[in-house]
Amino acid sequence: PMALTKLMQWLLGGGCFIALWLALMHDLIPVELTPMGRHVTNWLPLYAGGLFGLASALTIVYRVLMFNDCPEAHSELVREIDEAKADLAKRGFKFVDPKGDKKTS
Amino acid sequence: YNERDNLPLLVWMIDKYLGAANIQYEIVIVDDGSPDGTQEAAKQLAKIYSEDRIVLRPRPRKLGLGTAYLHGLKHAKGDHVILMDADLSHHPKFIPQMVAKMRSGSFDIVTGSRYEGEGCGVYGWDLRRKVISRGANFLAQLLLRPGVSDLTGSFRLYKREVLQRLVDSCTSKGYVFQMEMMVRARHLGYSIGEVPITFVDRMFYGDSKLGGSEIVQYLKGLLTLFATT
Repeated sequence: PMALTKLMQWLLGGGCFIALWLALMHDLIPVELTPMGRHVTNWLPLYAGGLFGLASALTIVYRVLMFNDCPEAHSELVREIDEAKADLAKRGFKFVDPKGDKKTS
Repeated sequence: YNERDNLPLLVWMIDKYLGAANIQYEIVIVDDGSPDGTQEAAKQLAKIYSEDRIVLRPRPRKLGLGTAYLHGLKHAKGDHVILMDADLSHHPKFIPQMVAKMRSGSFDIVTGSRYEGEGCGVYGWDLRRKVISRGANFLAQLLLRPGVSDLTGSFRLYKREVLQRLVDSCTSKGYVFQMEMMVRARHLGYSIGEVPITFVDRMFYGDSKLGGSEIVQYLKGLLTLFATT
């Protein structure tokens, strides 16, 4: 059997959500709702969307703040580059000077 | 392409870390006719490190990443393949860690992750870059649920036949190609392990690698994967 694409999964999920919401809106589901409950139900898609947007934004902000900077990796790399250049030159490698002249050491 | 300055340093580091870990290696260099003398540098390296280990398979002009992988793969003798950036943003010291991870977990693929794991990180990214990166990754995780924390990373270890199969079946370009490989790998049932890596961005001297058009390309690719996998 073919697996559903992610798009189809979302459409299916979204469809279920909408069906449920419409059922609630047209009192097809025998459930007692307080006035507050009624209000939330009427505006459910908006509230859900807003909540989701807020949660996403907060998640991204959190992850940006917790982003690991690694300056030690950079300094280690710089040191190793110098080490490599010296060793390669010893082994006979001829580097090209970025300014255009060949240089040996 | 145009890696005359970085190539020797990269080869030196690969030799240092893989040698220390007793890992037999071969480096296949696919140079797309770089005008800066990359090929010359590669030839010198083949003399220094032996032509068994430094294999030169150049191409006449810039022909794209996917075909470069295929071309390199054709000439590679090993049964495991590492794909990595040549500009030293990927450090070879992580390769033995990836190998160990693959062995201990019997994974088909091990990917480096800049985002998750003890010791992961990035150097050289400003706030804008970080926000874009996290936002893009969030969207990709939400839409594709890939089971891999760093979807656009390109520092990975593959079993040879796994890589062959993936490269043959993936069709996107750029960042999206790396994402597509992971998504297809999961679909084909391959197991993926992760190793935290540090990424030292070597392109941050004024290169606006993430301009508007790159972002649009990324979104287009992401939505295509969303709709087709």
